Amino acid sequence: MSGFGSLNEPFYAQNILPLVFPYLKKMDELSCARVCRLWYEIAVGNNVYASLSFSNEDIDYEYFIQRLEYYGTKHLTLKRCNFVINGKAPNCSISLPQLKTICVKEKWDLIISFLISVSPNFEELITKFSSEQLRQQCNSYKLMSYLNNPRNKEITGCLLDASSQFPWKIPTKVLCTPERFQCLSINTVGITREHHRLIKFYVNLNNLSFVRVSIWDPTILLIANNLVTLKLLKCSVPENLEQVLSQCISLKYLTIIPPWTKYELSDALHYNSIILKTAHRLRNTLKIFTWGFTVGYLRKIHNLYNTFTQKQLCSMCKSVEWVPIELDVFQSCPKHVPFVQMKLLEQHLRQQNWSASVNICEMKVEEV
Amino acid sequence: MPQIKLQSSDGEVFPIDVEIAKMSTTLKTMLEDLGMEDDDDEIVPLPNVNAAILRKVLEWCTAHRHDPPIVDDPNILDTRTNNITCWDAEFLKVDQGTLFELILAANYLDIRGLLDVACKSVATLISGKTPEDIRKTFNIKNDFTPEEEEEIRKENECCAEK
Repeated sequence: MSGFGSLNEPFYAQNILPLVFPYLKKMDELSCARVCRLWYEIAVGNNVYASLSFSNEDIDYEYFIQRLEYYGTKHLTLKRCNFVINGKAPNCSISLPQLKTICVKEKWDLIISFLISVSPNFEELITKFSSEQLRQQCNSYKLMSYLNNPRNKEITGCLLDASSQFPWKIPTKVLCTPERFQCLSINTVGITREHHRLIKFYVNLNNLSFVRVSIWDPTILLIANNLVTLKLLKCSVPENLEQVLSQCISLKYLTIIPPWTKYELSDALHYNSIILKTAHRLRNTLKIFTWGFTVGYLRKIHNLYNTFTQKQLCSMCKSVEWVPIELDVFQSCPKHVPFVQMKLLEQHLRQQNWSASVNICEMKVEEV
Repeated sequence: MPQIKLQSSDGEVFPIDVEIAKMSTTLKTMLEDLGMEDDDDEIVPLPNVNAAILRKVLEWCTAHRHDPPIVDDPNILDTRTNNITCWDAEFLKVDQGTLFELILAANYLDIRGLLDVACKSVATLISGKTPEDIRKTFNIKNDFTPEEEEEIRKENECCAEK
């Protein structure tokens, strides 16, 4: 019975190989992809690359996205990979309708949030991190966002972290499913009008952090009736802060650490007075007010910094029960804060009938 | 026993028992949908299957006419390739061309049992082999450039099972 077809002919290969693949082991399917161009195309078309797993690799970002699109990859696993961006911003018009799950182990990368934002049918983010660990991880890497997933209930937050090194803006799509989010953290130099608009939809927001947001409009906070925690770290201090925050009736924890190094002394005094007025206005509702400043700033303004040595300060710290809250954003946050200044400031504030406890953090990191 | 007539692509007519014809889901559906069951004179043309292959297919169907029906659920596909019966193994000792035609015919006629065993038979020709061995087995020319080969080798590493 000669004259029949062979698997090097497109008709036979295309009709027969897809029927045979289910009976092959993964490794054999992969061997098939390496036989010839025809078989490779068939293997791609038959989801041989539906599950991709990368570990310990430097991956060119652009090539990576192209491949995911070409393969129609459904399941992606990333373990300790570095994504290399060769100067070019990602093509935001790209769409990965096939991508359903991403499993991330040990390391976050910006690319994950990007992938989620361009995958309309994305279902599940699998991670071994808890929400708190996620947040800590995020501080070390450039941008991260994660979606609230019904199967991953502890994730109720979104953290966006785009430093100036990063060449493109936060994909606004990431912010588009805000109803479930209770927690939002934005770390960026450029928060856009679109982001402002979207934040207003975070109706259940109770925890908001801005890091290095240079221009923002505090009136967006008026929508967030449930806002309990607000952190403004190295953000600009808006003039109407006091007025707006006085309407945030649920606010209990307020942290304000302005970018002191950017300010002239007169500006610093001005912003400081805004912060003090705000805190004073909220003194009956706030449970903890954390106010950050630098040693140099204090020295200039209050002349409170005296001749105590670091050693003396440490021994004093041990004898006082009062412990400042930790600011996880600043990894080099000093372990010991000069209590002399704190005691004096606390006294000063108590004299003004502050019912809330006042935490003051020194940020030596600013001085460097 | 009621019979129907199948006509191969090259014109040969095969009278067969309806019971055997119904092992083909395609024919079964057709017979039921078109109410052709009682009409003995109807000839069903099979333009995709030639006489030689149709004879082989019917040979298999006749031998397997008492098999329990296979549950048609791709999720519970038995992918083991080491459970081909002696009879089937002997039956499938044919050249590759015939094997491929059998697969195409079994797929067209939707005869799960035959498709299953024929595909397994091809799978055994592939499994455990290097790409080069597979090329030799099926007489395929490697048309990749060395760069492409290297690239695909890398891609494959990303897919290897955990």
